[in-house]
Amino acid sequence: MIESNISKPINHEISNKKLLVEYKKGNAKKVFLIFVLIAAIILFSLFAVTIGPLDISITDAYHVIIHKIFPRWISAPTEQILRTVWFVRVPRLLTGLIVGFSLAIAGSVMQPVLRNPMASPYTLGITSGAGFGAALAIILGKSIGNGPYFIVANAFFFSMLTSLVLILLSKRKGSSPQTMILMGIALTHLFNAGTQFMQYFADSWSTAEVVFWMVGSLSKGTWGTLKFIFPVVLVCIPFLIIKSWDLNSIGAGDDAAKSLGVNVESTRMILMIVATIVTSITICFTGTIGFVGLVAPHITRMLIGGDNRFVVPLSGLVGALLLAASDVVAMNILSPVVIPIGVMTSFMGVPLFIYLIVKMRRSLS
Amino acid sequence: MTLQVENLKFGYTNHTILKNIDLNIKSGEHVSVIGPNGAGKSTLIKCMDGLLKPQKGQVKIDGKSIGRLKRDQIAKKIGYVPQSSSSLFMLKVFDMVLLGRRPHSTWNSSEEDQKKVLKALSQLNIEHLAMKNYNELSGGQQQKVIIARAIAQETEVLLLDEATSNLDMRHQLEVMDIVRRLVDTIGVAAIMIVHDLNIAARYSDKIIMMKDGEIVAAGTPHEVLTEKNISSVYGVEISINHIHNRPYVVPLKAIYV
Repeated sequence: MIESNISKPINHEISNKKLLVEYKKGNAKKVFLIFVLIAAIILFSLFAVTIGPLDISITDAYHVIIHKIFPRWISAPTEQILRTVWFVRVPRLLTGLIVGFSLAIAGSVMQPVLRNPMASPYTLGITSGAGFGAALAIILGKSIGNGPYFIVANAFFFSMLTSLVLILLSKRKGSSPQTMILMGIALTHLFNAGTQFMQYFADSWSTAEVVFWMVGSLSKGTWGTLKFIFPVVLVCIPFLIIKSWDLNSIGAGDDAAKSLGVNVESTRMILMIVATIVTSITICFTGTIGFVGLVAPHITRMLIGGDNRFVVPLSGLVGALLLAASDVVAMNILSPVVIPIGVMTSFMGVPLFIYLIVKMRRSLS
Repeated sequence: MTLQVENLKFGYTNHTILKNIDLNIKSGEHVSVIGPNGAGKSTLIKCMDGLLKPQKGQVKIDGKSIGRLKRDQIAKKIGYVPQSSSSLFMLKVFDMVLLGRRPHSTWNSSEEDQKKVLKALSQLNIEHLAMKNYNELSGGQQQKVIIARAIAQETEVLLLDEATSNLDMRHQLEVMDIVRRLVDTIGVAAIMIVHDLNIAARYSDKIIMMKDGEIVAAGTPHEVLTEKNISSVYGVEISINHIHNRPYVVPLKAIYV
């Protein structure tokens, strides 16, 4: 047997210690970035509640918030200011943050789970399914049932149905994550055709409402909707974050992941279901807001690399900030005209995205 | 530790890939699997890790059928190095090797895990790659990283699917030395697919020769690497020499029938 003559460095213990320190420093930087983004979101929120089409002074705005948190501490402001700040601006801001957070995390999970950088609730047809459901409720639903929750429930139902169809089709033998993306694109076209078909025969008022739903809006974000969204997000998101380490294994290939102890088939299915629930519960209230789920994870990867243990939570924060900031710009840049949030996220996100692709070129391998 | 393959058969509806496979492997054995392309070597390795489900027969580790074990239970006993592995996302080498600790720690890594990663990296002499992006490495370096990951997994069995095929001569010998050392020092059972018959001859305790999904010869290098076996399985004319008391195969020419 030939003896290995590889020379080992004598100071190899010391260099190992150095490496460990360097590795930990790298991870600490990512944790630090989490805190930076949380701080940015808080600062942004403090700014966001002070501006809007209605002219309310900064002190008045903060007065309302402090009054609501510590009612005994400080006297009530006037009714109009209270309504505007506490019942319009604050819930709308929170909705933007929570929807951006959820969609971005859903996207950041779907991309590695399906091994495809194009995966997002939007490209998988989940948002189109919701749109079709909403259109169905708006156009045909008046005879069956009514009220805003009927539209919401229908949108939720159809987006869940879309993902169920995807998952069942993907369980067939020989289908790969790639076929799931193709199915998603096919379903998108089917649902869009269905929606357009209904619009073609609908009255103009309903058509306008469908269009309004399709472009997405945070204006329906009230304390009432938050009561639905928040508990679901609170249960689902920690689960996705806990599972994020397994996404690194799955990204290395199915066989590799299995040999590392990940039950790939069931993990893929559970993560897809949970990510869809999070997506559906948010978009059924806000309408089609797709782009943030695709772009926020990529922006995050360009900033910190591909370790999903950090990509998943950080994507959420990037998405929250991107969506909420887009909404503030959308509301105020052409005031009193409010630009649809879906349009605004694309206007703001795409240039940033393209800049990062050109500049950094390291989102994906 | 014992690893047994009993009367294994694997295939798709009209196409049998493996049949009549029986094997018995113990701790501290270095086993090479050789055979021409399409002989079913990779399929056998995948069946042994439970990545493919056999149509008939079973693979047992310590008497337990791996078909009945959960994935994380198998991962604690058997490590697997695929032929090639790319990462979908930019992952540091350190984080790639850290995945080997996945069967032992549920959702995050401890200081202990990180130290084991470093140990695995230094066993392969690739500490200097630790902070590099896995996808930016050369094929040979990537192969070493994946071997380090399997070492960090601390399993009793190591399955290596052509782990040295992408490496140049020097790195090939390095990796073979490392695997041999794991076998000799901690009693790992290593089963590796090897294309270079001389490498197999030099390092293995046992060689398994396969053709058309069946084992045609199994035993020590001297028993398996005979002129008759090699010429009938590979279709080449060869001559056998002996160096360091191991057979040394010199290919002469292809046999055209």
